[in-house]
Amino acid sequence: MVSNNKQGIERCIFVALGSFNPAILHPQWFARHSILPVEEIEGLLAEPFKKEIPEIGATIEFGSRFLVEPTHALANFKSFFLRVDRGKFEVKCEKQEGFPLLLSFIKKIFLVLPETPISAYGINFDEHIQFAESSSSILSKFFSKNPIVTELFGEDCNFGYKIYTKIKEAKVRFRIEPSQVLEDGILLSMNFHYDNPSSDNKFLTDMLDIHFEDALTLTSKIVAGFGEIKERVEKLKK
Amino acid sequence: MKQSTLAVDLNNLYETSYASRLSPLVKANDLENKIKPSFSDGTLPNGTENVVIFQNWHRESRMKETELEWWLGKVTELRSDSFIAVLEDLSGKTNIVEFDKNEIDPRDEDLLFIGAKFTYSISSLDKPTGREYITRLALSARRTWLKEYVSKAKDLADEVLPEDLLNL
Repeated sequence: MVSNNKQGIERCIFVALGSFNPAILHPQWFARHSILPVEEIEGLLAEPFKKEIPEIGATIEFGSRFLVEPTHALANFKSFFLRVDRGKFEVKCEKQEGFPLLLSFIKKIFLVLPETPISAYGINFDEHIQFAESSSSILSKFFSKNPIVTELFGEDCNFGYKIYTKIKEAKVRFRIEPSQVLEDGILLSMNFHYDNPSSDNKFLTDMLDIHFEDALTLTSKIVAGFGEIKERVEKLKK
Repeated sequence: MKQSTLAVDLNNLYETSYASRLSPLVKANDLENKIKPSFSDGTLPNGTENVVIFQNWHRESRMKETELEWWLGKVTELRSDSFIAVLEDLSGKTNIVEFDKNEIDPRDEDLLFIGAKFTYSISSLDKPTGREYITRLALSARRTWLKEYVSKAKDLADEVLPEDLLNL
């Protein structure tokens, strides 16, 4: 879905690596500990609304799904999507107004479950954006086409770049390349990776707000530097 | 005409649906083969039965809960009718608070012991009938250490690490 939303950063994916127990993460557990407000959870616990189409013997069920098993948990909350397995905890939020809720959700979980071993976490922003300036023009500001590349792949080839750096505690990977889902668009992908320097989870529960603010500020600055936004991809296919 | 519109609507639905929750009788491939090709030419399929398409959808809630405060608590002292706990909010500020034991759900009484952790929250809930204020106290469902666990732990240790383990 493409929108003309001028806000640069709307999508965030948080990933934590460690050892998790997905079986705990039931919607009723989130409700019991007030980890999410009632409107985020009630759809998961309600029966799906059914629409039957007797002409073809089909039924369409409208609802929100969740799955909780010993090895993995999935929940489609109103503001974000949660996916957890034994080694990975992932939350995807596609609306900027959901970011504060996303942060408190993550902090609360790991405050209530402080013994969860977390080795690292990452804050990711992936955006497919079409700017007023063409994608080739923007990309050429970073690097010019090498004659060897054009000789091998032709004048019309497109290419992208990755930049690795370290900013404060974060290992940062910045990827910029032509978008495969938005014509004349650019994929901007930022990954801020934080390793756990200690045996507890304070690097996450104490620092997440600060790390997130730093990451969002830098990413927004980079996006703003590319000029006026014409379109962006609102939702990516899961 | 009616069938054609229905087919188009369903086709759009199929295209936008990311999750297909199917009845045991119909596998994803069957759905793909039976419905999708039929809909693409605007006609309804024949012989499809028990097909369930799950469309992710969030109904507009008639309630909105706003968190006023959320704390993580740890029980430090038990008294006859109350208990003392240290509460820490999301910004790390701590307070010492005394709670009446009536605040605990009777089904959770066995979870109350020194060192037990709990969450305590206050929120407002806007409903069609007006605003309500909610407090929730939820003890973590952890087992307290019982004396009988000692012998079980010893048996387990003896089994995994027998005394003659290193007698090579």
